[in-house]
Amino acid sequence: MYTKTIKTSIVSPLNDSQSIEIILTIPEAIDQQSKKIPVSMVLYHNDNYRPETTGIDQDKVKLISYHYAVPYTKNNGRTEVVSTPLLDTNVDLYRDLTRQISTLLVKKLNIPVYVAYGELIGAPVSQSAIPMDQLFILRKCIAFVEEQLKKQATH
Amino acid sequence: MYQVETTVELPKELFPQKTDIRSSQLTIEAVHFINQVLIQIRYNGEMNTTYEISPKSMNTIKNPTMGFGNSVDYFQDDADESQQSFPNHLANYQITTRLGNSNDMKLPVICTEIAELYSKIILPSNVDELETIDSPLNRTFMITMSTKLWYDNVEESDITTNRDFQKLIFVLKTIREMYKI
Repeated sequence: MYTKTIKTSIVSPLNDSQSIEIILTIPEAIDQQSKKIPVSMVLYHNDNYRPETTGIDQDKVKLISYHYAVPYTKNNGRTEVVSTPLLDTNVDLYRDLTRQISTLLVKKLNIPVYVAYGELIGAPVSQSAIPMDQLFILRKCIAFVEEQLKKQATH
Repeated sequence: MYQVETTVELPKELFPQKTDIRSSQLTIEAVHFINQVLIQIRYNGEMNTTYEISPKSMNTIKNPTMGFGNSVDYFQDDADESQQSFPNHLANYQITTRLGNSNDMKLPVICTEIAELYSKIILPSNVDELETIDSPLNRTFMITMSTKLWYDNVEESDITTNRDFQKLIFVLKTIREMYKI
């Protein structure tokens, strides 16, 4: 197996019913041979999180933004990150999130990254809920990927 | 959001490799949204091109050029073979290259065949429980795949050994088996 797929929910510390649902595909190991195996991340924000139900299958999610980022080595030897939206949106929040998650992951891992962001449709939005912070989502997603890769490395 | 995934080994006759260190693997992952189906087809974990296929339906028009063609006559006998219209499902989709070589002629056709498989068999079976009979979702397909599946490293100029069609059938079969349909 060249890749491994993991599903998870990251619950907000401020609100038990808010979570980020993630489906992550990572390479088995990041070494010289697998520098071409991309990381793929599909995520959406869930305002109706219930720990008992594994809700991912039942949720109606609309794909809003899909972003691709890759490391690029210039002639002088320096590596920078280049990226492009594969599915663009006029909703700045989602576009920025996918762009930031993908470019930051490329900076850290030096392999191509695909990030897809969806929006949960139809679920009642709680008026009292504090909306999830962009930085929180960003930080948690990156931490999750790094944690999973570390787990792979120790196996 | 419905997600399925499968990994199969690629038969060596269809997908020859220069070195036999590791067996070749095909990994397919599909995520179903209500507006799109995201498909990732990895060759040994790799993928490097993305196409977006959106349906543009002209299904209701049986013969779009009737009356405007060179030799069409309304009152001519139906037995005349030049009158026959052949359904061309490739025309039902609009393909955009999101990432990759936009001059490539082979890959858009392959993507259309995958989209056709989904439209005709997989989505109507309602395996993701998102389709309703009254209002079909008419979803777009975003296919990210590896060009290495179709462009061999092995030199191949002889058209009689061209295995593209069998490769396509193998990929379509794998997708169908992934959904257990």
